[in-house]
Amino acid sequence: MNEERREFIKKTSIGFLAGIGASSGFFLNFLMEKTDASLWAGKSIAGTIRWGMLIDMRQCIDGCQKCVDACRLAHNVPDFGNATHQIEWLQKSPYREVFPTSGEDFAGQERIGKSVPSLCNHCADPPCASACPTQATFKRFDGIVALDYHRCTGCRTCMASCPYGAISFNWREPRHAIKALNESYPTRETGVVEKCNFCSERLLKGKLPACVEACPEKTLTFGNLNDPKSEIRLLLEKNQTMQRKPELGTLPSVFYII
Amino acid sequence: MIEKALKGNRPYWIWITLLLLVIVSGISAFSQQLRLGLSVTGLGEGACWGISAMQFSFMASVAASSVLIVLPFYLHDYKPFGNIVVIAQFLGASASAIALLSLFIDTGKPQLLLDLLRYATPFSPYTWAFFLLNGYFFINLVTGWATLGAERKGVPVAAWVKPLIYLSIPWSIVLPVVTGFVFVSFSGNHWIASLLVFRLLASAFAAGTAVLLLIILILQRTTGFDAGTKVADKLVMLVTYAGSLTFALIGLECFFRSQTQPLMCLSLLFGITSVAVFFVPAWKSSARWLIAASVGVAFSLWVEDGVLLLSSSMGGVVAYVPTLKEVFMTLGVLAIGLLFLTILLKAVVAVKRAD
Repeated sequence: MNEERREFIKKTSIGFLAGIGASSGFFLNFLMEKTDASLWAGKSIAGTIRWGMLIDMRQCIDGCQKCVDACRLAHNVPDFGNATHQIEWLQKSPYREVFPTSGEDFAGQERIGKSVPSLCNHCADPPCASACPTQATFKRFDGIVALDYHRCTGCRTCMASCPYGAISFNWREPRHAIKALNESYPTRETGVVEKCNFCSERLLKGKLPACVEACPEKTLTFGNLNDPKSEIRLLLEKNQTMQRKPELGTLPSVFYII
Repeated sequence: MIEKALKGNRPYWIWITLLLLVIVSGISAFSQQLRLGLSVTGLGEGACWGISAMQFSFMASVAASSVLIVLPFYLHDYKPFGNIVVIAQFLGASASAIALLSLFIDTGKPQLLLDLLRYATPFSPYTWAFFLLNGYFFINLVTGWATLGAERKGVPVAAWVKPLIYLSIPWSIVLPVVTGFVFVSFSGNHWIASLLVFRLLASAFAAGTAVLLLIILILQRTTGFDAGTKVADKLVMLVTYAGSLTFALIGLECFFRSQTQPLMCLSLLFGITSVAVFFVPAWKSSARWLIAASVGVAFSLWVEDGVLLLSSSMGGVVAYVPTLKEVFMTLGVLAIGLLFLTILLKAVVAVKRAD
């Protein structure tokens, strides 16, 4: 009896596995989305582009929120009016919060009294991307640290590992809290993280990021850090700039002139 | 064997009903979370992981500790542990299940949990923790069940069981270490990273043996199952060593840390007091004291795991108060694990007493 049962289990399981094997051969073409390799031929190779931003605080007007508003509108960022559940891609925060380790505690108010725009640093060595268990957070060929909202399981390891607090989580349904809906960018849903994407959807069309375009002064400069002739590189060469928490070795692509 | 769980005395059914009630309240809270998102918890911009994650890391530690019973029995042929080795394995399986369920209820999109398999990322510690816990759950459940079945029939254990058990030994060392890596990658923990993983390993053994000791004492009182004095003595010894080492490490960290955390000191106070009980011969032989001390060790390490999570990524400690719904969910998960363990232990006791 026992032998018979064992034999039966053995045979059915072999049959089951064979079935799976055979069917995967049949269905492979249906389930997998085909990638057209020729599409990548014209794209820049990794390393030739590294998008970056320079924020010149000498130009920034205290109290002006134009960059923040433009970002919220461009990406359907919800506004709950609640600090705990708030979602921020770009925000203006007090100097000490943005640069807690800069060693400028005793600098004058004109230098550290202003609120500083802060956003995702698109680090060259992003801790969030190495913490993500599904590669929903990943580094693109052009240095942008991007997010796949459909792949995010909402585990929040990226949030916990980001030393800049740049990633927000959708604690509740965000769609009700969007002030003005922008049809050209997708909305998100409850349970996924989101953050600044350096306006990759606008770069694709040859436009500058929304915040850069919205700034009335010349506070924000956007460009390719790997191109020695780009405006941002020339500015970086001429000025003394700083990054947020450089001691952590994340190599931010966002620079500041204070 | 599983049918043994359907027969029991009054206290047994009261215990089962109690667990079911807690599970139901947990499920009801969880269904609200599914509808409203994680906003039903006390988490937010500051604290992005809470008591559920605490339970995850604590239970992963408890699960790993079964190695302290499995290793002496299978590698050194330490006979007295033969009595409780299956109990230790089932504790390993149940604790892994609780840890996994804690992860499950803590994700924003639990329906995507299987994507962790689909998009498994080799450099993410979270992926590894998920894989290791799943593997540990199955290894312990299958080998424990096979060992128990063989014992019931009075036949030697099947040949495939032993290699799996040997595999579970390195597995259980890796498990708390990788869980530790998940928390090292928390940016708030840079300073203590040097000690963190080692400490988690030590605390895993302390907490796990304390829980196992507790289970054996409870079984003795409720079912008359006697593991033997040698086993209890050995377990007390293990808790004493592992507990002393752990609390020495936590104490050192408290001492050298620039900002002391009140919660950490509370945990330390609890832990040291509890371990001290194990050093007093008169108390060591009293089941009451042992139960109290085991609970003390487990509780203090649970709190200590929590402190790790409350270090904010922007520096300092974040303010976080769990909501009632969150507590219900976490307790619900714990109750599911306990129910699972109870059913397994019911079978163990039935086989051991040859009912």
